[in-house]
Amino acid sequence: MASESVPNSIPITDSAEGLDLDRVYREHAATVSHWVRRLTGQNDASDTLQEVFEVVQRRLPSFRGDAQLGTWLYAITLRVVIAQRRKARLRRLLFAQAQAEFDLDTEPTESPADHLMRRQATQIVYTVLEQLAERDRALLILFELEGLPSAEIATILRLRENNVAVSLHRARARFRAQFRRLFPERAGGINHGQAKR
Amino acid sequence: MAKPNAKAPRRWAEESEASEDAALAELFRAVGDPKPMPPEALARVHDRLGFKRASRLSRRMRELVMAGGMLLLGSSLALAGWGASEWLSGRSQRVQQPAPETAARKAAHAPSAGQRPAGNKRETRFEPQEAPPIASSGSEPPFEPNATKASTAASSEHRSVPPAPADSSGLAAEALALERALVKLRREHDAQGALAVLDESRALFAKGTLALEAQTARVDALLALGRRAEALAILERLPLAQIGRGGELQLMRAELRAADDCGRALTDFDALVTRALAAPLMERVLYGRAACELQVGDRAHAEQDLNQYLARFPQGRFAARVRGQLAKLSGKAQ
Repeated sequence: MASESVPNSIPITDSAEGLDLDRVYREHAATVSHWVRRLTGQNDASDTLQEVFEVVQRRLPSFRGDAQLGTWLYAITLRVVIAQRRKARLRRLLFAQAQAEFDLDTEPTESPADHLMRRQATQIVYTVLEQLAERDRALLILFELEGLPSAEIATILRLRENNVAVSLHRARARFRAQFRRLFPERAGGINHGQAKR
Repeated sequence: MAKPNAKAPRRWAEESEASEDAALAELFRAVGDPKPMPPEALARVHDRLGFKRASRLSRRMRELVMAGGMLLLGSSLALAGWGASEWLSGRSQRVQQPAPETAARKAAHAPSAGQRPAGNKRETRFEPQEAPPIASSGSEPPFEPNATKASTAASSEHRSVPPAPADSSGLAAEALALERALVKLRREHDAQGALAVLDESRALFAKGTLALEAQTARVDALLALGRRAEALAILERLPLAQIGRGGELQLMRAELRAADDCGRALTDFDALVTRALAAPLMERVLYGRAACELQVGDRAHAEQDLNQYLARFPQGRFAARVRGQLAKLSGKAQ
């Protein structure tokens, strides 16, 4: 079944002609902010969004339309997020700061019970993702949460399409292992696949 | 369930409760879809980017001015040197000749100075565009509003490209028309009037920036008038994944499909069940799916959904009917 919750691809296509920062920002900033929130697991996306579009500004003249604009933007967003996460991790280590809470604003009309359930789930999923290597983390977010197809994941992560399924299998095994370690009471009867590190 | 890609495994959110990864399935289903940043926050970032660009431009201008100055200084020095040598060689009467040349050189530099205003473009302020019309590149064909004759004459290449951004006055007029339609529909409860405004707007902005929003409003108006078949026809064409109210619209489509074709309605209901929807929508999803499952004779799944409905929404708007249906089913079983 083709699920609407699983976008078949990043829904942005464009030709390279006539693109300028203003136009790209106006048309795609909202989508990029959604991606930033998804990739960070946090609502505060302003600084990252600004950095993404600074990179877009620098690289836009060299965008020839070989890749879809959406894939190109997603790849930039992912790299900016990864770089910022590295800096943040270093800051946390140096200054013994705590990891910020994970939470994402979603449907404003949800009931308090649904909100609580969603918040808990977000907190758990992103806490486990935090234990994984950046590539595994990105792979799982792109596949499990964004629902992107292998071809697009391969382009964004610069993998061969054939390797996506294998990498995904390993990333999932590592996720399961960390999930069991951190939340044994919730892990219950999940598949005990071996995690290779 | 079909997989998003034949080579890729099924997503955890799509796993059933009986699978080994049921705990993860429940968890990933519950993680919601984050909303984009609000327009005001996007506008603030836009302004910050504009400031950076201005500073880059002014830096480039400073570089240009400095380069021009250096050139002028160099040429003046060269002229002075040449003049001195002329004077020394006793041809001082010709020393004045370089003056026109200097003027000519200055004139040659004039265009570079003239570039300054071009680099000093006024920064346009960000006007938030909540849902830009973006063409899907996936398997689902992109939604194209009923285009005018002129736009249908455009090449297929042009049709695959998203519409060019309207200038601010065009966008403002389009937004105003949409607002008028929504006021008619929601405040004045005049669905017919709203449809008339939407028709007018479609003639003017066939491929406008707000075409998707206009179509969504059209669906609401048609449903208010009871024109369900026409509403369904539009919903079948809309790229629901790209619309803010995608979940709600897909639910409408499922409910409309259910009237004639429960098989296709179930496709929508199955997809919706895995989404993190607001409680009132999820209630309708579970109830609608159970109704359709009963229709197609899938009693086991229908019972499962009805029980799930009661567990999640014991005071829900369909709770009484669900209890009655469950009692009927258990009576039949006995």
